[in-house]
Amino acid sequence: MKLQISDNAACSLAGLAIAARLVHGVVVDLPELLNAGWLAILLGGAIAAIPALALCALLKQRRSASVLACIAHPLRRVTCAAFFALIACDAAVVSSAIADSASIMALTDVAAVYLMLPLLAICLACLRLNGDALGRSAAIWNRALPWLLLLVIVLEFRDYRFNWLTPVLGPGVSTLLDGAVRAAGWLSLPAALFLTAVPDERNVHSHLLPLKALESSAGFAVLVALMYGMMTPAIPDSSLFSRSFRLDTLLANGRTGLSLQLPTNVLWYVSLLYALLFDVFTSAAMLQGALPRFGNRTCTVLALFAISLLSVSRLSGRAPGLRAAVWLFPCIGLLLSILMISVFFAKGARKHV
Amino acid sequence: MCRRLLAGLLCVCAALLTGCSTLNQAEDLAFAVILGVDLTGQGEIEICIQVPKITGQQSEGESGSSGSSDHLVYSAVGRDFDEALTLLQWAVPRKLDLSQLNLIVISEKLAKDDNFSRIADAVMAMPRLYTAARLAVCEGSALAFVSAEKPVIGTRMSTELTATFEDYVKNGFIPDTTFADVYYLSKSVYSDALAVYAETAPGSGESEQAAAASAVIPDASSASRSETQQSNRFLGAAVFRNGSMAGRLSGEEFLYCKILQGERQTFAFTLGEQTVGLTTLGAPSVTIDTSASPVKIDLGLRFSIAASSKNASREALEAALEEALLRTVSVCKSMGAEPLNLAEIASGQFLTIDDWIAFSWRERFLESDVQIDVRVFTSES
Amino acid sequence: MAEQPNAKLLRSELTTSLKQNLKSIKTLLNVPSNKDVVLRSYECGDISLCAVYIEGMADDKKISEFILHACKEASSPEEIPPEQRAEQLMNRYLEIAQCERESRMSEIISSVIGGMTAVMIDGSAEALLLDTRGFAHRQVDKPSNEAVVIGAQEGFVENLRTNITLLRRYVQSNELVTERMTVGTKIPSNVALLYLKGVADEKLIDEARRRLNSIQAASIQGVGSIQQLLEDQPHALFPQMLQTERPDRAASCLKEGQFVILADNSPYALTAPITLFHLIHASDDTFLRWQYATFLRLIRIVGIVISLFLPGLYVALMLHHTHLVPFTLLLSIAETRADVPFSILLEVLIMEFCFYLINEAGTRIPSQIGSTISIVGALILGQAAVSASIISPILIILIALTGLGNYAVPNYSLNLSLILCRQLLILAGGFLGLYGLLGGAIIISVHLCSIHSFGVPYLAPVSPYRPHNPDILLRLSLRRQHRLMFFARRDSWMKTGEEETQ
Repeated sequence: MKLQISDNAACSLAGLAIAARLVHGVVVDLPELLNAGWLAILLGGAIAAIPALALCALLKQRRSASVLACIAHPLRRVTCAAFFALIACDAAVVSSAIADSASIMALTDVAAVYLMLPLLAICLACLRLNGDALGRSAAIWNRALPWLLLLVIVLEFRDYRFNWLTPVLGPGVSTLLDGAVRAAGWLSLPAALFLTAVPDERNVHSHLLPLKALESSAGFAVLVALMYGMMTPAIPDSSLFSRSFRLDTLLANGRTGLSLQLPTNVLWYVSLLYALLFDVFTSAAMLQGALPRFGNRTCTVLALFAISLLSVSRLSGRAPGLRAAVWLFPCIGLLLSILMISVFFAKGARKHV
Repeated sequence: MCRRLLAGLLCVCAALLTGCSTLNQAEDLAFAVILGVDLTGQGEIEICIQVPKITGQQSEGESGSSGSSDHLVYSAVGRDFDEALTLLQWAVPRKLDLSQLNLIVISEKLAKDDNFSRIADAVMAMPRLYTAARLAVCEGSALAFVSAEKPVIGTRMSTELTATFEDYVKNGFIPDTTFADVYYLSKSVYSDALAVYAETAPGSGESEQAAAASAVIPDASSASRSETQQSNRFLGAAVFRNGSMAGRLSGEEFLYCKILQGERQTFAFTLGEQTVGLTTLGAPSVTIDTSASPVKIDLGLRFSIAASSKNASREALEAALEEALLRTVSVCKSMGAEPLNLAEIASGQFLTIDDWIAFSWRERFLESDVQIDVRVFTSES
Repeated sequence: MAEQPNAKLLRSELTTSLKQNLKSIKTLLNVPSNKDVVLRSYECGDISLCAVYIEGMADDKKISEFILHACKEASSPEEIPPEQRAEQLMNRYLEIAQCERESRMSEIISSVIGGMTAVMIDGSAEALLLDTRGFAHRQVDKPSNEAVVIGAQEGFVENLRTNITLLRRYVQSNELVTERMTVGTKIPSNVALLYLKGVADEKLIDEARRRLNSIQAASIQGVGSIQQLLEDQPHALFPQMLQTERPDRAASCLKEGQFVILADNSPYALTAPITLFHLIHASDDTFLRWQYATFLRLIRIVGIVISLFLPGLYVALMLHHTHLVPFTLLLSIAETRADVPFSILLEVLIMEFCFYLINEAGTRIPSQIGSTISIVGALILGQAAVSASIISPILIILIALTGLGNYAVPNYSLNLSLILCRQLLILAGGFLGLYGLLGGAIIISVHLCSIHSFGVPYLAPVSPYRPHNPDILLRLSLRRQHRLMFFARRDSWMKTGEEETQ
């Protein structure tokens, strides 16, 4: 059996993973958004709705197999290879973020390379069980996550300063749009996962799940960005604060006491780990689409190897990651457009598979 | 079989390489409860910490009380903060852990120094401030303050400090701000920050009469006396502007400042010979007209009188309160600072941060026309 | 593959010669070496008969009264043709409830071994198999491992027939089907597959039947062995079938669309398909009012979470994240640990080991000296170890809480699974802190999601979501529980009108 996942599992996994990715990207890596990160995410969500709708239309065309299975062989390979490259780069950033978080929290004396090893172990252990197990596990966490978040909000509520969200446009429209495009890029990442997803026969509206994933991930990220904005005032000189500092203040703001740290840290670690599992699974599935002769384990190991190499390189740093994020949305949009043309207008596209 | 072996090897490596060798058990660490930073006469940075001793169960008989810990003070001097910290880590015979800090004390001399912002950056980056350590500016030497701070009623410094601060904050004597609060506000585009202001009484450890009007009880009468066992006294608030200390507010002035910020407070107000119990009713209504020149700030506050004080003249009370509040605003203006959280409200009238910065709120506030309208209501209970 | 001795003879059929048949039986039953086998010859009129049974397995009284006496009292029969002798004897002379004719040697031998009496008839190529089972067996008693405060107090016993009877009493429906089969290629054991026809999914029953029939083991040791041979994923950490010794629990499983397997000499029933929530639910959840049941279930779930995560969390926080521990607590722990020579991780592992050593010893120890265990446990692990500063007092409390949480789990197999998972989490937390603990929790969660029980996802109906009664984490009012389990037949006759209108 190939690496595959059902629609519902894909929705759960993607929703959680992209929410974490957005929080890391917008709150940690884009301090220049000041406290208007939530607005950038909302705008990004609106922009990303276009490819999401295109994806829904694509999903509606399939019958029992995934969308990729319906596409001609050469195009499938090229598309999968392109998605693999995009997602592997993103995975490198996420694994670097996890390693940074672990390093900040406790394992301060350990080299970053060695902090990748537990991630490899976790990914290998989880991925041998195929995509549905990952997605269902994410669905369970999605049920627990709102309660933990509510606990954090209740404990922090006294320290929230709502006025710190003003001025509403923060750094200005151009910076916001810049952030929105990046956010849209991260929000478009689940496209690759949904292309490999097989329909769930129990859910007649399963083709709308990409929109649901977009809503849940954007909604959760907006809420966290708002919480962060109300805990830390806007500081215009963003050069002061490195990625490590921003990550540190996300986990331990310094204004609120000890009692809050454990739920926040649990939320952060688990969400990031699922983000990494999403990235690794999707890149392994894309690799398998590009190289169909390789089995599940081989593709998983190769994908992990590639991601590990990228993680320890400079490409996982803040600046390269953000530069790449600008191109994420146009690239994914272009790939989806090509796929749509292939499915709707190519010869025999009217034949439903 | 080979795959399982490789997987097992990966797990063992993950375990051994990442965490096994750096285990730090709680009893092997030196947890600092108070951190003091000072500027020496030679312009060097002096750091001091207070660390509770871990006596262990065996020592119960020796100390005479179970669970009580002594406290040790260590200090080090360096050219800058990082060097002083390195030397301090050498001075302490255990691994120094700064994650349980309850209080950070900065001497007034250092707080007023231009280099304080660099020190603040270093402190903020260092211990992650998990416990949201409070910031206090002490009048004299930070080392003397830290050395004199001892648990008097309780047995543990951390609980002593927490209980003291909670009580004083509730009574409106000192601000409820952490080091991070002060740091963030100093760097941000909003109001200025307040920190606790404190001093070490001379002849620490002996009971004596406290000083008069600047004492903890917010009573303007210079004849007011209080007696305390505490060597260190918390006397009001230090006002920060642009990352360094601009001045201080007495306990009474800070109380009014807190009321203007919109905090709920119950307090005693002296009207002539009478002391009236008052409680704030709701948040103040704030109207800021940023289009006017000078900026017009209208504040409406409501108070209720405690039942025991019903005989007080309402009009006189309202006038006296308005005068006291306006006086506090003037004091803040004289320091060139705006610690009343008005900036957050005014910033809502602008679309972008750049517009807000261009507005130059602080300068506008100093020239603003502040009107305060006080209404006093009688409580039925 | 080596064949059983006399395999060819075993596969043969009876002849019309009584002498020849008896010779074959003696060979197959190892007579005269086997002293248990009784061959009692007698006459019924002019017909020579021989009753073959095993002493102790068959009831002597039934044999004398309903067979020997009945035959001897019978009036001289007129000449009966040899080929009709078996039928005539069965219909006219033998006064016993269960009787059937059989010609296959293998069936005759296995029935005699099972306690039946085989009556060989001279001139007839058929023998009569009579139900004279009367071996000693345990009476129905209280279940020893699934005690409830309110509820039935009967438990399964080792006798298959009694167990089937117990279930029939709880499920009095003509649609309750009992399929009997044997499992074990060399020494077969009797097994019964029970299900409610029209409620259980046909494909599920077919699959269960197929798996039972495909067991290639030479013999089985009871339902425990059957479970291990039937499970979807034998290497998974969690059980995929439920073992219960309560007939009421097994009956409720039947009504939900599950099947039940009973085996001879096993006082447990095996049910499937199950989900993790079946293992967490206790029998008396249904007997109590919903408010009490919900409360107790929440306590149980909290206990499970504590038992799984508390030691790992303690190790992770104390070794890697002391800043997350309130300072007063941290200082108290540090002071009590000041003189302890072991690291926290080692201390926890030692205590876990000691706890389960006492547990295991308590299970095996003869009851006369069972009190020794409690004295040893209390003295050694409690006061003495703390006084000698071998371990810290806080750890005693921690291990006690963990143990209590563990024993709140109603199912023994799940209990053991949690113990294994806990050790992994302790090691993960010890080496990698919260990072490792949460990574381990994710691995366990993904593992749970990958398990299937006869095709049913283990964490359904939560994930994947399936419509269900409000009886998963909270046990809400029975008046709100209209649905059948999601794996039951969709057009089941057990559906109520309320479910159909929903």
